[in-house]
Amino acid sequence: MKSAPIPKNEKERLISLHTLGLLDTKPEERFDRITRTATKVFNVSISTLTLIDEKREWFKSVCGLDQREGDRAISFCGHALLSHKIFIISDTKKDKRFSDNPMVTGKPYIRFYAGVPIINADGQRIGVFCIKDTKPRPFSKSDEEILKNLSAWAELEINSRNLSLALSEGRKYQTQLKAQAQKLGNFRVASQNVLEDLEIEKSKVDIAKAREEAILLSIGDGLLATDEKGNIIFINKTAEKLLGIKNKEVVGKFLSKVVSMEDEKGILIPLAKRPVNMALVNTTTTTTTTAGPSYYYIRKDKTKFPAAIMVTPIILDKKVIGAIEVLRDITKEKEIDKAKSEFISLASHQLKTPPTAVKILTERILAGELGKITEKQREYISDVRSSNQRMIDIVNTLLDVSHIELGTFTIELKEKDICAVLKNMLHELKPVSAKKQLMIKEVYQKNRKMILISEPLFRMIINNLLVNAINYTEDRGNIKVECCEINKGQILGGKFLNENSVAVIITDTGYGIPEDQQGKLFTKFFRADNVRQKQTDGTGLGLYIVKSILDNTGGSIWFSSKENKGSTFYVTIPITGMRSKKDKN
Amino acid sequence: MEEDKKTKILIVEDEGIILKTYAEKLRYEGFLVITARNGEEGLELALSEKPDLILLDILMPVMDGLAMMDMLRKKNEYGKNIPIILLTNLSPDEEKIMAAITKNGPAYYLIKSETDLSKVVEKIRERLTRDM
Repeated sequence: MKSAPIPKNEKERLISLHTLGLLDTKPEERFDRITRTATKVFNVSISTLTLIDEKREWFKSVCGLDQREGDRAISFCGHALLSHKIFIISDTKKDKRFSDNPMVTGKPYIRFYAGVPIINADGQRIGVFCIKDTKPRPFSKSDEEILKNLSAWAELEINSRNLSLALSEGRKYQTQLKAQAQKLGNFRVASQNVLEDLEIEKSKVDIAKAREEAILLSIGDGLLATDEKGNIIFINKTAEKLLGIKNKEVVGKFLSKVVSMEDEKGILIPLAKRPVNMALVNTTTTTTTTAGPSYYYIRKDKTKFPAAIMVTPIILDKKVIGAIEVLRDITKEKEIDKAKSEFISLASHQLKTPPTAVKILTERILAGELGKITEKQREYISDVRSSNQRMIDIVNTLLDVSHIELGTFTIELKEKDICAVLKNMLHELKPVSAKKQLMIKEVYQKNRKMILISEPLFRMIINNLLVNAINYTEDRGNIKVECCEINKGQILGGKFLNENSVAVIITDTGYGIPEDQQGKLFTKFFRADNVRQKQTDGTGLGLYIVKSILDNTGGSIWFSSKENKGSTFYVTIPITGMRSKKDKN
Repeated sequence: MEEDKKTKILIVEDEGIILKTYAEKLRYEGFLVITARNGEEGLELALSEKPDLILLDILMPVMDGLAMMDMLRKKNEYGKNIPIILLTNLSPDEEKIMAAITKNGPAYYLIKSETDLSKVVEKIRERLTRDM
């Protein structure tokens, strides 16, 4: 048996066949009627329209057989594919190429075969139209003619099938196009609607914008905005009024040139130090708040007013594009502040005068300058005198608190040797500590620096801590006072220092602070339960004062304590010195 | 005659009991004491009586102690050099007190409520010996 030969251009042929898209499609009447016609015309049992695939013959249409494909190698059509015009085997048994073919020796027992190659529109041979029969038979020229015509018919159907497919494809596109066009139409209408809506929205936005502008214009505080260079881009009515300028005259101008500023002492504030300019330069922070009573704006007519100012950089996409300044005339507040501190001075004077009289009167009696007194009289007068002293102390403490809370303390900074001050204070407290037979140890760092402090405030801090240590330690207890410099990054008493500092550490072996009350220690009027029972006097203001002073001068205080074991208080002051509150801003 | 040898001290103080007690104590200590109840009276008395030292309250009606000191210092050579001890119950860090004290002339200040009479006497003696 000879296997069906593979043509030289098999690759191109297969591409042509596969592109046709006919393989493995369902049977179609247009082809089936041809194979049916062929069996009837020739009175044969089988007719197929065969497509020759790479490994198989596949029947697009088949009449007289159940299967739809077979092996290409043993196929008759595989041979017919390459024949010139027609391929005829009148008796397969008499042809060496087919006599032992399984389809001859076995089912479907083919004894006759005639096939015509099917040529695709691009000239490639893609298959065969054939007839087969189980009996040998002669095939005349007119038979050949008929078979060729039938095969031409099949070719025509293949091409027309493609055409009709293309047509229906075209129709599909047409429908799609129509749908698209419809959609476009709808879209156009929708767009028009959107545009109309936009118009409406825009007018709404315009109204809202106008309203916002009106709101900004009418804010009770002065408001002005500058661009990134400091040129005024917006100024509201209050600011116009406060600064004595007109919107039209100043917009676009450099703010710092329009109005000048002074500090408390009447010294002109240089451009670079003006809040707006500082906010524009300081781009590292998202908001800079510059508030302080020490700014005075000077109007064109030379009148001036103290202003509370808050400046915030305007940040867009991480870039500073300008600054907003909110300003307020604080003349009234200033007056009230002044009145308050005057009141405190006066009240303090008035409150202290009566106990002052008691103090000096009792002193004279006790000195025996007015004649002899009995022991009982002496005891009573002494009690009057010490109660009176407590009264004076309380008034003084309350006064300190008011001063701190109002910020009316004048902080005068001088370079001092802190350890010398400590020594002096311990010396002054000697009568009290000696009376309780306390062991006082002093540890001072050598080669220490002079520190810029307000001595009265420093004394107030340390005095409160030392008096507490003395008062709240049993007789014959120990107190240790240390003073040393601690560097930034070191840990002191469990706290990380973020600044080079000088530390005063006061440790006692006293009553300590109950753990559950340690959080309240620096609260105004707080006194721990254990000391409240032991010592009835004490105002509960000492540590509050200490904390307030340190908070306002750049220092800090913290402690560790165990009840009935003792306490350690840590005070730090920046090595650069105390800072007055005003400098902080 | 004997009176002339005594050191003359002017106390200017508006509070009656305090004035009385200071005066009696200083007399007890052997000083010659003259008193005034406000700055105006005090200034007049200082210029006419020329005391050796003035104990001067600050907060007073009519004319306060600081104003009186200021006027006295500007008045004449005597007023410029007379030692003055300011007695006050104002806070020690009151700006204007410090300014007044450091400005001119020999002056010293004591906080009344914190100072015993004996301490006042001590300060008076200290000032008088220093300025002599």
